Amino acid sequence: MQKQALQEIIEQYLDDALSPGERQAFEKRLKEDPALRQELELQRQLQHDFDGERLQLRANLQKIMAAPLQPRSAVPWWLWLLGLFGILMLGWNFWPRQAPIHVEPTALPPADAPKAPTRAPVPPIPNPESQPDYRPMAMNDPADFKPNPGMEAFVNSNIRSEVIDVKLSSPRNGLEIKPDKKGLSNIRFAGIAIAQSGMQPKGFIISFFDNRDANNPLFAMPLPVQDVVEGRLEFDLWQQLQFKPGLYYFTVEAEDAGALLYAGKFFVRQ
Amino acid sequence: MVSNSLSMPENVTPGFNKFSKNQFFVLNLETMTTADYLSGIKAGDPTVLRQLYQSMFPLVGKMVQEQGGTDEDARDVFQEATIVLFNKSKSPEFSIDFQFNTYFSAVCRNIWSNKRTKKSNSGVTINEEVTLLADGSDLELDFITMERQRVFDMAFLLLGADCQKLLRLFFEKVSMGEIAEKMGFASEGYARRRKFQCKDRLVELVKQQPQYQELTQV
Repeated sequence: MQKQALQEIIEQYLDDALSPGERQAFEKRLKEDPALRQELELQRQLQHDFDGERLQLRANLQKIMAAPLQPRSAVPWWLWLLGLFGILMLGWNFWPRQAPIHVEPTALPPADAPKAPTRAPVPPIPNPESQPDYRPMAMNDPADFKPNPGMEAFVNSNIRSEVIDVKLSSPRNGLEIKPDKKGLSNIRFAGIAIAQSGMQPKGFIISFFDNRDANNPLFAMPLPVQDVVEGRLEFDLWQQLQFKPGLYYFTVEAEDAGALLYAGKFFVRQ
Repeated sequence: MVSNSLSMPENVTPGFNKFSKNQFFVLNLETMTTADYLSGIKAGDPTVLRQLYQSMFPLVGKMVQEQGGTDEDARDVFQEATIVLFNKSKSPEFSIDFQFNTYFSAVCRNIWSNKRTKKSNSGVTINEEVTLLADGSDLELDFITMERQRVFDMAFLLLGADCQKLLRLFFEKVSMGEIAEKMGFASEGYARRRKFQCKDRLVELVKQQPQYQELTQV
């Protein structure tokens, strides 16, 4: 109890809370007692050195430093991403195949027809069976028609996004296109996208690939949204593009989210 | 072959890279600035501290071990350097004119140099201030204060959780009545008794610290 009383007197002295008489008496004791002076100094230091934030910092440091150091990777982060992409592509190859979504085949407009207005009714669709069979001819290089396994897996996987479901009515998968006299191929990209509530994509991007390189698009172009009704978006875009004969793939992704939503292919044959 | 036969439509985006859009959000802590580190250290932010440890400790460890120190020495140096930055970052005038890594390494070298000299010369340099960088203004370290704070902190962190909580309140000048209430004690008298016991234990632990004797001799 004496020890507790002494500690409290020291604290009061340090806080300047003693009465003048008590203070004078205590200082007299200090002069006579070196052990008391040492105790006072220690108490003063304890009070002075306390810093709650520093203690917290040191406690956090001790906790963090108790864990083993993670080995530093010599591989830069972008290489990890590249590896991840490779794994994903490999995954697509082994993903169970789903039946391609049902698409209504559409006919192409005449090559010299003016660009159709986006709201124009879709022309009547002839029976695909009646379309001419454009088999590769002597001028077509068979190597340009060789399927790309990676992209084929992509096309057949029937990609589905959890937030945007894209269905294309045109071009139908594997459409055969015969370029016009000027060598231009008319392609119509039409379909719908159903977005979950809260998602409102501003537009889409179509990227085109040849059958040789599934990683680097030949080019990309915007696919604007024409109509938006309660999460249902429509797009209808005619394009005249110049392709040499061959097999081509295309992907559709959301412009703002960058998520891959659809993959398809078409053939250009003379 | 392809390039000759393919022409871009007008609205095509040449050179469009399908992975250049914000498909991947990577929090790259390696790009943290000096200000990020300082504010993180000041706030005791575990994420920043972990990153600091990950990025700087291997360098500190290498430097200490190359100069005859142990892993334990390296840990001490790293911890003290972080505390030095914490103390300095409290000053509004404090700024670092170097890259953070450079500054932190210099502080570590400074601390290790002092520790090494102290080890070989029985503590004769403990009251010296060492300046390593040319302009020097911010690298003067008060090793006595550092050691004293370290002794205090190490002793404090050895206390039980209850004593730590009680003494934190006490040192923050919370009244004994409030302490009794916050700690769930039956009376203010009991709070006083517990405070005495905890503080007495803290004093005991401080005195048991190896560096305490050195400090009292200075």
